[in-house]
Amino acid sequence: MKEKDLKRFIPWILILPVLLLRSFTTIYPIFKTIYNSFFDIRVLSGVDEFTGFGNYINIFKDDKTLATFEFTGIFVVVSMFFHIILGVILGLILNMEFKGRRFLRTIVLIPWAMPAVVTGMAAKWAFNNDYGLVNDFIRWFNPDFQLSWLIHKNTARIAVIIMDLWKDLPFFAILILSGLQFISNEIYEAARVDGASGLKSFFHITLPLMLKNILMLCIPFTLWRLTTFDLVYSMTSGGPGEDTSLIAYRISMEAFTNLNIGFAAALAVFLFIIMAVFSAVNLKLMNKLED
Amino acid sequence: MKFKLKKCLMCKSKYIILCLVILLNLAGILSSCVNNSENQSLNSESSNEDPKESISIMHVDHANSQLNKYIQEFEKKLGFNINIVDSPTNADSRHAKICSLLASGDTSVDIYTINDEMFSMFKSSGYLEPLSKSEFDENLLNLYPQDYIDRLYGDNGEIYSIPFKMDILLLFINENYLDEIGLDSIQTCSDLDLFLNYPWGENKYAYGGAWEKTYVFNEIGLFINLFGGDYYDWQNENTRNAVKFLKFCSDENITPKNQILDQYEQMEEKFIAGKYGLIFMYSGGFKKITNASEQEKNTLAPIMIPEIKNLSTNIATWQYSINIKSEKKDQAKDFLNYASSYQANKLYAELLETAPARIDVIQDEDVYFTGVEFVREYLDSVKLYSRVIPGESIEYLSKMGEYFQQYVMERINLDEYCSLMDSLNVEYNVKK
Repeated sequence: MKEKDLKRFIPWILILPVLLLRSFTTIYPIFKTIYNSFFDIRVLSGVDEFTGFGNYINIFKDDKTLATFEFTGIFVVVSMFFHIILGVILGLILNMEFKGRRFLRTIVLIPWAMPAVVTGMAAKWAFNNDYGLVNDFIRWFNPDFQLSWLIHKNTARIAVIIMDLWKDLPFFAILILSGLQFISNEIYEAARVDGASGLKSFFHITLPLMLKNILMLCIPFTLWRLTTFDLVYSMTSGGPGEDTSLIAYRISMEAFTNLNIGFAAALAVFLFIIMAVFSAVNLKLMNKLED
Repeated sequence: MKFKLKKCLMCKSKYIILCLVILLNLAGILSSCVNNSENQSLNSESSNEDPKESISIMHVDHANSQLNKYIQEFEKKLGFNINIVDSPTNADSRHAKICSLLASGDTSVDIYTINDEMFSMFKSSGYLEPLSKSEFDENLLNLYPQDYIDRLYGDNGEIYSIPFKMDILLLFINENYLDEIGLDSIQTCSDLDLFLNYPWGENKYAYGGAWEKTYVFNEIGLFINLFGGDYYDWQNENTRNAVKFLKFCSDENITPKNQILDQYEQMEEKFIAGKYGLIFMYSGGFKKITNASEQEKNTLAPIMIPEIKNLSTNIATWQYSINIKSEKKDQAKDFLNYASSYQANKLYAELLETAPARIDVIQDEDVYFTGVEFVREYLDSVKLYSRVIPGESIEYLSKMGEYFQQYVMERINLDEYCSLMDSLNVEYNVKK
C-alpha cells in the first residue's frame, strides 16, 4: 500500500470508535424505526405482522392523530410567528443602552433555564381559575373574570402556546441580540446623517442584515417545537380530549404506554420526513438570500 | 540521501505514534470493560453473597419508610436478600416504565407490584409468570373478594398475581359542610339531594371528583352501579341516568368543570383545602386524609354511601407478579407464597397502615390500620365490584375518558356519547 493511501485511512481509523458508537446509538435506531414502521406491532396483543404502508395509511384515518397534527401545525406556526416578532423586539430592547441592561439580560434567561416539566406543572396551577396567578392578574382589571383555561379546546391551546413562548422566547431573543451586536454602529450613524428615522433604520438596515440570522434560528427552534413533548405531558396530558396533544407526545404515548410500536414508528418516520423537508426548504431559502 | 533517510524515519515515527495512540485508545476502552468486570467480581466477593440469593422488587410503596421493615420480615422468613427498586410515583410514568421493562425482556426486576390496569394489560401478554394453583394454599382464593378471584384466573386456569393491598372506594365528607347545612349525616337520598343542591358559595362545591381522562372511569363505573345500571349496555335507562347525573352536577356547579384535569392527587388536595363537601376516594388515601384533617380546620371523615338504587362501590387491588424473564423464579414464588399468607397480610396492614388484600385479615379484630372500622363496615354492607378493564386498558380507559369529557363539555350529546361507549365496548371486546 502506498504511503498516500495509508494516510487516507488514518483519519477513518481514528474516528472508527466514535463511528461505531454513533452507529449503535443513532443510525441503528433510525433504520430499526423505519423497519418497524412497516409492521403492525402491538406488543400487548402479541401482534407482529408485516403491514406495508398500513401504519402510514392509518395515520390519516385516525381522528386522534389528525387532531394531533392539527394542533402541532397550529402550535409550530403560531409559536414561531411570535418567537420571531417578539424575539426581535426583545432582542432590540436588550440591545438598547439603559441602566440595568446587564441585569435584564441575565434574568431574562431564567424561564429558559427551567426544566420544561417544572414549567408545565407550574403552568397547570397558573392557569387554574380559582388559584391561578393568570386569572388573578386579569381580575385586577376585570373583577368578574372567570375562565378555566385548560378545560376548553381553544383556551387550552392558547395557554400551551403562551407557556412555550414564555419558556423559549428569551433564548431566541438572546441569540438575536448576539446577531445585532455584529451590526456596526457606523452604518446607523451614516443612516442618521442621511436623515433616516429609527423605524427606517430598522427596516432598511437591521432587518435585512438580521434576516439570514433569523432564518438560521428558525431551523432549530421550529424543530424543537415539532418535538415538544414535556410541556404538554406535564401541563395538559394532551387534554382536554386530544386537543393539545402534539406529535411527539402522541408518539411516546403510543410507544411506551399503549405499546403500539409499529404505529408509533410510522408516526416518528412521518415526523422525521416533515422535519427534513422543512430544514431543506429553509436552507434553500437561506442560500437564495445569500445569492 | 541522508535527508531522505531522516524524512523516512520521521514518517515512520509519525505512524508509530499514531498507531500507539489508537492502541492506547482501544486499550483504554477495553481496560475499562475489564476493570468493570473485575470490580464487579470483587464487589460480589467482598459482599460474600451469591447473586442468586437475592431478588429485586419494584414496589409501589417504596416511599413509605415502613416498607423496609416489612421487607426485612420477608428476608428473615425466606432467607434471601430482597432489593427494593423505586417505582415512579407518577401513575403514567410508572405504567410506561413497567411496560418498557417487561416488553424489553429486562431481568433486573424479579417482582413487580402492579395495579388492576396493568394486570389486565399484562395477564394475556406473556410478560407475567403464570402461577399454578397447586403452588398456593387451596383455600387461599376464598380469602379475597370473589369478584376479583374470577378475574385473577387466566383462561388456562392459572393465576398471574397475588394481591397484597385492597383499596375500597369510600365516600368522604367534610363535616364543616354538614354543620353549615345543619345535617348530622347523609343517610338518605333526600339528604343527599339537599346537600348537593345547597348554595355553598364561591369556590365551594358539594361534590368533587377526578375526571382526568384516564381516571374518570372510576366514577363512571361507580355511579352506573349506584344507579343500578349495566356497564355493558349503554342504552340501559339506569346507565344513561348515571352519566346524565354526573353531567347535571357539572352543569349546575355542584361539581366543578375544571376537575376534568384532576387526578386523585389534585382532588385530594382540593378536598383537604375545604373546596369539596363530598368525594369518593380509595381507602389507601385514608391516612393522608386523617393526617390532613388534624392539621387543617376541616374535619374530614368517611361516611356510608346513601342507597340510591344499588348500594355498591368499587374495589381495586395492588398485586405482586413475577417477571417471566426473571432468573430467580423460585425465590420470587417463595416471596409470593409468603406474601399471600395471613402473617404477611397482617404485617402489611400494621406496618403500612392500610387495608391488606385478604378479607379474613381485615375482619380479624386483632388487626388494626387507619380506617379499619369503615373498611369493615363497607365490606359487610356494600356490594363490592371490580372495575371493568379490558386488555388494552390504558387505550380503552383513555378513550372512555375522552368521550365523557366531550359529553360534559357538550361537544356531543347523550345519545352520541352512549353510542360511542357501546362501540368502544365492542371494539375492545368488553363483555360480561
